[in-house]
Amino acid sequence: MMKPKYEDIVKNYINLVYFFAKKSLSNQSDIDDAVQETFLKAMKTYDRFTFKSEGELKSWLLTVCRNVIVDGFRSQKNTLSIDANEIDVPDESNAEEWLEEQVNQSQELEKIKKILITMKPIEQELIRLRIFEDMEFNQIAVALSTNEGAVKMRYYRAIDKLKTSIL
Amino acid sequence: MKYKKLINTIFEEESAKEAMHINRLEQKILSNISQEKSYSPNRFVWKMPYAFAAIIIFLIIGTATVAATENPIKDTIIQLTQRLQQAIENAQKNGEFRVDEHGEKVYTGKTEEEMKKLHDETRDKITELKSRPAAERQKTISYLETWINKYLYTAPDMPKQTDIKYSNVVGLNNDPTHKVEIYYSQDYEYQIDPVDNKIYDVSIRGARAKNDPEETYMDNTPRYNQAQLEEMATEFIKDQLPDVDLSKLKLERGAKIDNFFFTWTGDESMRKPLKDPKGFKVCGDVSNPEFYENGAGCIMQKKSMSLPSIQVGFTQGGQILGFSNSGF
Repeated sequence: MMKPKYEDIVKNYINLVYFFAKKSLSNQSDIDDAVQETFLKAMKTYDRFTFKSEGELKSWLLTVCRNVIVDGFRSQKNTLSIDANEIDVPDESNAEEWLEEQVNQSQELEKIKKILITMKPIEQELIRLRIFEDMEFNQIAVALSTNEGAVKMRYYRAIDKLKTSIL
Repeated sequence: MKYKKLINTIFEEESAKEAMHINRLEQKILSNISQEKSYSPNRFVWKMPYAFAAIIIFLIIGTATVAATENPIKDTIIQLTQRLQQAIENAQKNGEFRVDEHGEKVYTGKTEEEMKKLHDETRDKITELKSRPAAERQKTISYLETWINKYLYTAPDMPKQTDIKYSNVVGLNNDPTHKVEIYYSQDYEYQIDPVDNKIYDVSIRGARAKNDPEETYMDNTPRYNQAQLEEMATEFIKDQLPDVDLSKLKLERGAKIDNFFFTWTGDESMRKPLKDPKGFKVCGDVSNPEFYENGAGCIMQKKSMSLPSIQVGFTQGGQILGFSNSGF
């Protein structure tokens, strides 16, 4: 993968970092500060950072952001986290299958929206990173400083919750 | 449509609502990056990127620890803040708590009600003390109504912004010594200088109306292309800032998920002096040695924080996402 210039990294991934920070911090100025600091810190090591895929790049940016939040906003404990000791679930979850099912947009859109906003921030973010940002489980695990199994389990649980609430 | 696509649509909508805010943040970060690249240790007291990240600007007054002053309004604010602080200390010792799903201790029961009430009352009283009388603010509201009717309804089905409320007084981002009033309507927030009714900022409330049960209105109908929206943005600026010659500014075009942004930036020669030549205080984060260099806790900033710029954002449906005048 060609290494983009750093200004393009800011432009292309600010949404990713912003919404990640937003799930951990409640104060708007804290969110903005965390996003700014993430990009300024990442810039310092960008020249030395190598990555093979866009997912790795996203994972790295989110790791920087997570560290910024943990270091700089210690008073707020609800940084996105998953207990790495959570038990792995088998891969045969039918979550991915359900996501491919056909649905009537006008009927389901509002319903899903309402359920999504009541879910825990970590669940919302896992769904965002996996579905919207198209990240691999292992890349999400790196960003959240946990293991792949724990990420999979929480993600499948979140999708099951979504599915059950809709039915 | 598949569930997966539907979920993506929800996240796209969420991104669109915050697009203007994120775009401004992006501009700020890019400007900080370019300053960092041209960083010279002799020019700045602080390591700039960290200073920016940790900046705390004391806009109005010190906090409750300040001794009595000769300013009765300031004294009343100090008393109110001290009363609140005392109540928090009492609640922490004797109040009712529960542990929420994130492991945070939060007030509950009667303590929750009392603390919320006290917080709201204190905030409202301090806002009132810092503000102009309601009758004077009403004149600004009337002006805003006229302005909204003339300029804001750029998308055909936009709901009427009839319920305009006053919020607070703040300093402008690029010049905190320049005080403006904040008002908001159903879907927008406005920063206006009550002295000359000049509007400095209009933004869709997506980023701020997090707990508002009403959805912010967004028109994403594919109606205009980037070139057409640029023309609309230019006309809008000509109306708002007739003295600014856009041809002398550098235009940058941006787009994020069907939203388009146009940012005109001036050069150093166009940077205006601060409203108050005494400047404003900028303090580092004392608890973090990285942010607190050379032993300098606070410095007086005498120049505005950034180069002058104007930004206008539109959805592809032609709805104004925001307008900001930073320094013109």
